[in-house]
Amino acid sequence: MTARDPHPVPTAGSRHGAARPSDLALLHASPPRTYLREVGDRLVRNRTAMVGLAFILALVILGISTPWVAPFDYAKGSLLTANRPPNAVNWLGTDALGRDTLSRLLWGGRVSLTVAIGAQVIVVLIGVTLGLISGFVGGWTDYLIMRTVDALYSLPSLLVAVVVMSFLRGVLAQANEPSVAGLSRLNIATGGLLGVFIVLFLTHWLTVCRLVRAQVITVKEREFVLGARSLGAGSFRLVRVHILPHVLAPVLVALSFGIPGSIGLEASLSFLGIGVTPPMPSWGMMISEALPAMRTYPLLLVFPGVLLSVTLLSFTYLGDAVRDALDPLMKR
Amino acid sequence: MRTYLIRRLLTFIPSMLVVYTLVFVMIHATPGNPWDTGDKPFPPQVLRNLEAKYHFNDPVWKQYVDYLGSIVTEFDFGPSYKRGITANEVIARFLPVSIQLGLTAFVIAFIAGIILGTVSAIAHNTWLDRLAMFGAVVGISTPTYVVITILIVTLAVQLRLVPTGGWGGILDRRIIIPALALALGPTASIARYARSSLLDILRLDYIRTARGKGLRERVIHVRHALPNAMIPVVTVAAVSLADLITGSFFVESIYQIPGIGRYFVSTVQDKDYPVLMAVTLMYAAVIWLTNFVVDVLYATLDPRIRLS
Repeated sequence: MTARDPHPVPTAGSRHGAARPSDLALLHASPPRTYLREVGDRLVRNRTAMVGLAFILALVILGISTPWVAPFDYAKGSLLTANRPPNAVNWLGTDALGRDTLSRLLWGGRVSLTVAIGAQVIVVLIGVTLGLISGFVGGWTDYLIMRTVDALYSLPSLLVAVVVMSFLRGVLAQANEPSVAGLSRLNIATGGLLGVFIVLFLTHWLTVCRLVRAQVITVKEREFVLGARSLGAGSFRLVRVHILPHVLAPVLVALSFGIPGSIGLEASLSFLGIGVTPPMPSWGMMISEALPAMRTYPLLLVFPGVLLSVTLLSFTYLGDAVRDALDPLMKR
Repeated sequence: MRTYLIRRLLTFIPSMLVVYTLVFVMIHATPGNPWDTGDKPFPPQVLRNLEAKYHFNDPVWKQYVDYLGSIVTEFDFGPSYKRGITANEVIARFLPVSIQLGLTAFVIAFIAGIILGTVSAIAHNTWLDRLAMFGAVVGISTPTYVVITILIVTLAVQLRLVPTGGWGGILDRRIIIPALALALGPTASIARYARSSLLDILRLDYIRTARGKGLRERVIHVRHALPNAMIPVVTVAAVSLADLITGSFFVESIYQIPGIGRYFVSTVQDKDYPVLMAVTLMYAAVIWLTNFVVDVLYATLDPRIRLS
């Protein structure tokens, strides 16, 4: 966010018609401090958040380059080299089937990040849209959307995930059924990720929708919206120009907590054996595979466990920092 | 206030109805039936008899109405397809174990969380505060299945202090590991809430007044600030409580505890629908009740809030 803002919001000085020369000098002395720039500055000053961000960026780069960086195939192993401790060939050792732990961790991280970020994109798109409609339109539409959200909220997300996953698995398994054949092939091609995507979306859009709706309701009665409306702005323009920017902050916060939430839920699903399909690795699956050998070979459990925790930790720190940075009144 | 309470109580009915409908639709949309045994299918006659016995041949609307009727009028969730007992018995037998474990974990989390949060707020921006808050973030970000395996490996396997699994009630030492594993996350979130809420309160004028009239710091923190700071903490604590007493799949299955949490996953995979319906409705009811109690508590603790 340190990059130059392409659409700087005019500051008070430039808006009030003729500016005195002294004002102009001030204006040229430092670039206009926009809201986003201030938020970015506050974020950069937060050291723990920057460490977290650096770790996440490293993960993303590793995730993108996994096919070239990973030293071995994630699925191929040899029983001759099973359960090796870390050595010169397999830097982090091998698992019970002789597969290279480092390669599996890399591929697993790629899966976790893809799933989390992909699901959050859909969550934001649909959550924001429904929240805007619910808050802006009100009435029966609002009632209907909010009661659905309430009902879904009262279900444990793990239970929803398990029920939906078993339903999807049943449906997607009918590969010769023409209506789902395309989806089924897509699911197989992505190593079972399609189902995980859908589950993550279903359990995570609720929060975004609620936050957006609450924000819209407080904003839409404010004077500047009323002013724009009385100047003849249509509903679409009102929402796009005047209301949407106010929704940005809570969505950004929800997003920075939603991504680790998705990573955690994907790991839980894979831990239960209903997430990604083996041999595609995932950190959660690696943890569950390591459990039987917990007493004799705990290292196998430690690597994915620590990596998962540190990733979630980084996101939590970043999320905290984003929330604090967006709220200028917040004192540390 | 009274009309609000009544109106609020009445929302129980549509909420449960929506949950019932969602689960019912999901069950009937899932392909296959509970007696799909894969390679060795039952003979067709057996399947037909099973389907007739459990009313699988009735029209779907009739199944919907009949089942709803038996739940509402007799509180009967029907027989488990797989376990030889009724769904009601599954709840009656395994929920108390989860409640005992969950309450133990909650008491630990509540006390530890408030102490940690208070210490952190008072020692604001010192190494003690930073250490405690780092611990809290670690606690929030570590999944329970990682926490419990670490506890088993260290406490049970390496140090041999407690057994590696099992259940013997609240007073048995086998409760230590699962209770600690369950308590870690809630402790962390309660501590974070308690800290930030206390920090907000400590900035207020009446605290300055209390300092001005020369009260000791300890009295200011414990008698003046803490009660007000507790109000938002109650909300997170209540949500954690609901979560804890309904059982955790991971902790119960890894530590071999006969609680209800294990059924969240196994009933879906076995297609044991009556138990699935009972467990889900139970969970939804607990969550609903928690939200209700939190709202009422809020108004009682903070007279400025008017329920309407």
